Amino acid sequence: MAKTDLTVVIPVHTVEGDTVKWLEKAIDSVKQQKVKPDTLLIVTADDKEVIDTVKKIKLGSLDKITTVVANDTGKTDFCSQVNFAVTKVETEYFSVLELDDEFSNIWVNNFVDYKTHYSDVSLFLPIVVDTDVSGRYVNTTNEAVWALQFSDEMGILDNGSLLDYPNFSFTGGIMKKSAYEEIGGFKTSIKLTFIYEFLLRTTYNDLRVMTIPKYGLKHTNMRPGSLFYGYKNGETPVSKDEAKFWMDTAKKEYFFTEDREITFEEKATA
Amino acid sequence: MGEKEQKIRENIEKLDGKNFGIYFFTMDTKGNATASVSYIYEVAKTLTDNGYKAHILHEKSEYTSVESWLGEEYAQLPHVSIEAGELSVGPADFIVIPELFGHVVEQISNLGCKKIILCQAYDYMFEFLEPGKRWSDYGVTDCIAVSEQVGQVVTQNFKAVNVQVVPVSIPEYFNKSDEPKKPIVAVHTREQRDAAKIIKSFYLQFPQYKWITFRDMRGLGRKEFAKTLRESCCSIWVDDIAGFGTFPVESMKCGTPVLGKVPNMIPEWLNEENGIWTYEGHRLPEFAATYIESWLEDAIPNELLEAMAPIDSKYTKADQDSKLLEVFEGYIGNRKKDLETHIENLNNEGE
Repeated sequence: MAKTDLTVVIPVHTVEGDTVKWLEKAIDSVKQQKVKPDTLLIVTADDKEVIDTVKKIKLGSLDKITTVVANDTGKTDFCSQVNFAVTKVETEYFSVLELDDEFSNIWVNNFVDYKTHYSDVSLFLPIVVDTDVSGRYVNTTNEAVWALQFSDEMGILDNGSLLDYPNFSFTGGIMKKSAYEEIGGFKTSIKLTFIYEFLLRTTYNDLRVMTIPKYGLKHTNMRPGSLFYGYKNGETPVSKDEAKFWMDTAKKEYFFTEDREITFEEKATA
Repeated sequence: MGEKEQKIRENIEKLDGKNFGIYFFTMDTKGNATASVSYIYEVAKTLTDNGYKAHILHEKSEYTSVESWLGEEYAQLPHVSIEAGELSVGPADFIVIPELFGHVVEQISNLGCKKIILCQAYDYMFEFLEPGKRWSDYGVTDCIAVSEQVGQVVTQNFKAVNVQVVPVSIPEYFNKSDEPKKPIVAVHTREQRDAAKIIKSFYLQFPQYKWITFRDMRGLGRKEFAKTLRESCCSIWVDDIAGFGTFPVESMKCGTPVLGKVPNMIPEWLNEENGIWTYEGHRLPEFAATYIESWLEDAIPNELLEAMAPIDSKYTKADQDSKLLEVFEGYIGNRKKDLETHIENLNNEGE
């Protein structure tokens, strides 16, 4: 079987609650692919507990998949971990699978089919089925580009549409490593809207982004311990003002490839 | 040899030398793609390509060209207008009239040419016929039908009419592609309001699929029509009075599964496996949602796609052409016999 030229990256930042259970499910979804990716790259934070936990995961017989466990000794937030992982990727394409997400078993073979016909696309997004922690359907994401007159070209996400409708997800997407590096990767200084800023930057730089019209990923919304759960329910939840600040920041920063130091300061109330 | 015999012999010579006209009465589509008219142009072109003098005959002087939806090669066939007085026919000529235009048959009953009915939509056969009247009352004894089933309906009602079947042909540009299909549903209904009903009901019942695009195929040029059909993930068809059912065949040839309401006359090509068929038209939105869910999961049964495959080799241009030429050679032979009989009768009268 032809190589997919694809590395699946799973970043593991912290270990909380049911991390092992979630991670095993994510890995299992990679194993169940009808067409297997070349490499599974698990990136762990430089943390003994995280490393020990990943070591305990039953990787099983990941036939036809080369497994690499890389230890990120630098900044270990999600964006930094992905940026670090991409430096380790040796295939033309990579995909980031969050540990609480699962690929559908048709995702990689659809990617192989679509990249044959749409070789000019730099980022393929799946239709994401969002569920709650119990697995119940909540909604879908990324499909809007197929709606009539949503964007200039059916199925292709463009900058103008994204400015009007920011609700797109990167997770599970399959991107050319060279394109990711060309536009500078994730910006670690941006909180909350880093994916939105990244997609704006991608489309602003004329890189083609396409949603493959197939269910490619199941995403668990608001898993306790997840990044966005923390934004809403953590010790210092993101306020409305801060959310607006990061949204505005994304719309200002996407013109620049360089990651600039940005901090939010809550205005003092009278 | 008398003058009458001389004229008849001249007509026989015209038949032998293909020096006569075949006039296909055609409605003005006003630039909208119409499968029934496409069929007429197709057969007229085949006859032209084989040395016959085929013409498109239309009622009014003003007639919208088919170039925009059917192509230049068809638009360039000779056109003749009745209103402009351009129609001049004799015993060697043929006029082919679609079943819908019964009144035209009546109007031209005095013309000395051979008249043939073309029956595509059996449902329109009686549209302009007075009760108790039959085609033979206007000198029509031959009919071309697009399928055996349509031919049987003609025979049941017009027992004296000789029916020949010239099958529909689907152009080769209705073909499959290995390009991935898109979340587009191609809708083709005889009545435009049926298409609107299906689409509105679908969006109301299944708002999670509000991003799915429905494409009403009305008004598309033939090649654009084929392209849209090819890239659609499925098609929906409603035509209760279909005589043949061209659209689903075109859809299957494009590798696009059909969700359809079974018409009153079940088409010869339709079987339980080669589409998703229902007698309950109101359930089509529900079937479409189920189909789309499966398509998004790559779970369309292979059995469906396999059952569609045999249609690829059917309804080809070659099949239609050979049958068409055979039928017209028969008509010409019979016409010659008629004229020769006429000469014999004249001679017998002379004796």
